[in-house]
Amino acid sequence: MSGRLTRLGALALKELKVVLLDRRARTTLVLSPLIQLLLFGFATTLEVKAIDIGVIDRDGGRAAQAMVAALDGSPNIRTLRNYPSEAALDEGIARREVIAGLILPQRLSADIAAGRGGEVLALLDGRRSNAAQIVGGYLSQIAVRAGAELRPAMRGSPRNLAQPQVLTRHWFNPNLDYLWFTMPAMIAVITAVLVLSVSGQSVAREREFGTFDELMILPLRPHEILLGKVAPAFVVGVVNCLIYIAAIPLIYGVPLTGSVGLLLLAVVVYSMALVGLGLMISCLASSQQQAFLGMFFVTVPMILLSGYASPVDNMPTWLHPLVAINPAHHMIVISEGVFLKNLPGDLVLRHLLPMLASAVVTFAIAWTLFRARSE
Amino acid sequence: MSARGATAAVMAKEWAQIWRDPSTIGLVLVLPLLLMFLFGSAVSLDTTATRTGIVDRDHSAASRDLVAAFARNPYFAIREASAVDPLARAMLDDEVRGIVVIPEGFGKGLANGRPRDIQVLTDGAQPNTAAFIAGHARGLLATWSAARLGERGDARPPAIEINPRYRYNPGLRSRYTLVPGAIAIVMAMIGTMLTALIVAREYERGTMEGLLASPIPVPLLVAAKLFPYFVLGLAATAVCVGVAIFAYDLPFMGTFPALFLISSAFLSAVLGQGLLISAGTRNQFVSAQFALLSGFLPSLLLSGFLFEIDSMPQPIQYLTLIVPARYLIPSLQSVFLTGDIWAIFWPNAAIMFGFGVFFFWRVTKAIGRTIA
Repeated sequence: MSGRLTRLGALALKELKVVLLDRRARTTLVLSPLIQLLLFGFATTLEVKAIDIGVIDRDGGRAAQAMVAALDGSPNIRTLRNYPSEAALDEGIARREVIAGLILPQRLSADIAAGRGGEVLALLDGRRSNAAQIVGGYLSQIAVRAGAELRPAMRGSPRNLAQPQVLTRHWFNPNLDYLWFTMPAMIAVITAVLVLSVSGQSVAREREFGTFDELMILPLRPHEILLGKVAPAFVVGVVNCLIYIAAIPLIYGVPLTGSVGLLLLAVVVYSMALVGLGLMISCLASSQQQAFLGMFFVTVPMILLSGYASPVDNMPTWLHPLVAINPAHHMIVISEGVFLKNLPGDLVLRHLLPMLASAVVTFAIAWTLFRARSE
Repeated sequence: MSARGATAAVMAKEWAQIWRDPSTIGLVLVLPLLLMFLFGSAVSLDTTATRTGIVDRDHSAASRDLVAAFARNPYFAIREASAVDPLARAMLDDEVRGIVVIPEGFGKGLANGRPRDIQVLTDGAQPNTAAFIAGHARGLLATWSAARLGERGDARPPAIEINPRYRYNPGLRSRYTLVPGAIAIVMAMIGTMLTALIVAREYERGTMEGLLASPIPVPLLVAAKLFPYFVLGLAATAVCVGVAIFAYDLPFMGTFPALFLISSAFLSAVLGQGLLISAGTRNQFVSAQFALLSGFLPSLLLSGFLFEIDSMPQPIQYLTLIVPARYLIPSLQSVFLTGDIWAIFWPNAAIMFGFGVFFFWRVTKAIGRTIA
C-alpha cells in the first residue's frame, strides 16, 4: 500500500515538474493570474463617469440657465456641447460624440414661471443600453436639482414639503463599492480559467506525443494515474486561490468577515470540481488543440452562467438548473458570502455539496473514458 | 516548384488540416451559436422583479396601501414577513435582495403632517441590484405620495421633468447592446485561439523546418497560413450575424459591405495577434494561455463591451488602446442599430488594419529569424 502511495506521489511530482519546468509556463501560471487580478479588478466598473452631453437651448431663459448650471456642476459630466438643431444632435449621437442630448424647449422658462411643469426631451444613445439608462437617471436627478432652484419662482402649497423619505442602508457593503463584489468573484473566475487549461492538457498531451501507452505500463491503477496527472492543476488552483485570499484584503481592502477555514475548504473542493471537469475534457480530446477548444467551450458558459458577468436573478428560469450544477456559481456565492457576509457554515455547506458532487461525477466519467481508451 | 505554386500548396495543406479536425469546424459553427445563445439569453442586464422582503410594523390603512403598491410594482417580487430577522437570514441565503421596513406610526405621521421615513435595507454584496432596489423604492414612494396628495388636491407638477427617448433601441433592451458585443468576442476568439496554436504546433512537432525549407518567401508563407483562418473567421461572423438577425430580431440598419470592411479589419488584427503569439512561444500550452490572456479576457473586459472605458482608471484606459476589440464594438453596434456611420467606421477600421499590418510584420520577423 505504501509502495503504491510512493509511486503515486512520484507520478504527481513528475507531472508537477513537467508543468513547472518550462520557464514561460511558470510565468503564465504564477504571474498572469496576479496581473489579471490587478488589471481586471480595476477595469470592472459599473459606474458611468466622464460622460459627454449635448444641449440644444431653444429657451435661453432662467430655466435653461439653471439647467445648464446644474449639468455643469455634475461630477459625472465631462463636457457639454451645444448643438444648433435636433438633426445636428442626432448626428452627434450617431457619431458617438455625446451619449445623450437635452432639448430645452422654447417655452421652458415661461411655463415654469407660470407655475406649470416644464418637460425636457432627452435623446440617449440606446446602442449602449446600460450606460444610457444610467445617464438617463443622472439627467433626471440633475433636472430635480435645477428645478429645486427654480422652485421659489413657483407658487404651490407648502404642505407637500413634508413627504416621507426612503432611508437606505446597504448591508455588507455600505458604500456599494463594486470592487467588493468583483474581487471575491474573480477568485472563482481566474481559477477556473487556470485550472481547466492545465488539467485539460494533462491526458491530451500524452496522446498527442504518443506517450499515452507508456502511462499504461506504470504500476498504478487507472484512477491513480489520473490522480497523479491532475496533481499540478490542483496545486496550481489551490495556490492561486491562497494568493488571492491574501491579496484581496491587502490590495483592495475588501473585508474578510467570515471564516478563513471555510473559505479554504471551499477552495479545495472547487479546485477538485474544476480538475474533474478538465480531466474529463482531456480524456475526450485526441490532441492538445481539441482539449484547448473543449476547455474553452466549457469555461465560457461556466463564467457567463456564474453570476459574475450578470446577476443570476436576471437569467430565465429554464437556465437555473444549469446554474445549479455550475461549480463557479457556487464558489462565487461562498466567496462573496465568506468575504462580505460572514456566511454561516450550514449555508456554505449547501453550496459545497454540489461542487463535491460535480467533482465525483466528472472524475468518474473521466475514469470510464480513460479505461475505455486504455483497453 | 514556383513560389506561387508552393504558396497554394501550403494553403491547401492548411485547409486539409482544418477539415480533418472536427474541433476546428466546431469552433467555427458551434462556438458562435453557443456564445450568441449565452449573450442573447443568459446574460441579461435587464433587471426584472427583484425579490424583496417587506415588514409592515404599522398596519394602518396607509401602510397597507403602500405594501400593496410595492406588490403591484413590476420591479419588485414582494415577500411579506412580520419581522426583519427571518428576512435578514433569507438575504444571507440570496433569497431576497432587499428589505423594506415601514415603521410604526407611519399612517399617523402622514395624517398629522410629520411623516415617518421608511427604511430600505439592501444586499450590498450585489451592488447593482442594491442600487436598483434603493432607486426604485425611492421612485415608488415619491409616486405613491404624489398620488395621495393628488387625491387630496395638493398635487403639483415637478418644475422640470426629463422625458427620455432612447435612439436606436427604443425599448432599451440590453440584448441589442450585448449581441453585437458577443459577435466581437466570437471573432476575437476564433482569430486568436486558432492561429495561436497553428505555428506552435508546427514547431512542437518539428515540421516547421520543412515549411521554412520550401522556396516560399516568409511573408507569403505567413499569408498562406493565415488565409484559411481568415475565411473561417468570416464564416463564423456570418453565422453570428445570421443568429443576431433571425433568432434575436436585431435590426440591421447598415450595409453588408460596411460590415465586411470592419470584420476584415478586425480579423486581420486578431489573426496577426494569434500568429505572433504562436511564433513567439513555439509551445502550444503557453500559446493557449497567452491567447486566452491577451485575446479573450481583454476583449471581454477591456473593450467597452461590459464596462464603460471612460469610467476606468486612467492607466487602464491607456491599456484599452491596444485591445483591438475596443475599435470593433462601436462599429458593430452602429452597423446593426444605427446604419453606416462612416465617421465611426473609417478611423476604427484604419486602426485595426494598422494592428494587422504591425502583427504581420512582427510575425515575418519572428519566423524569419530562425532561418538565419
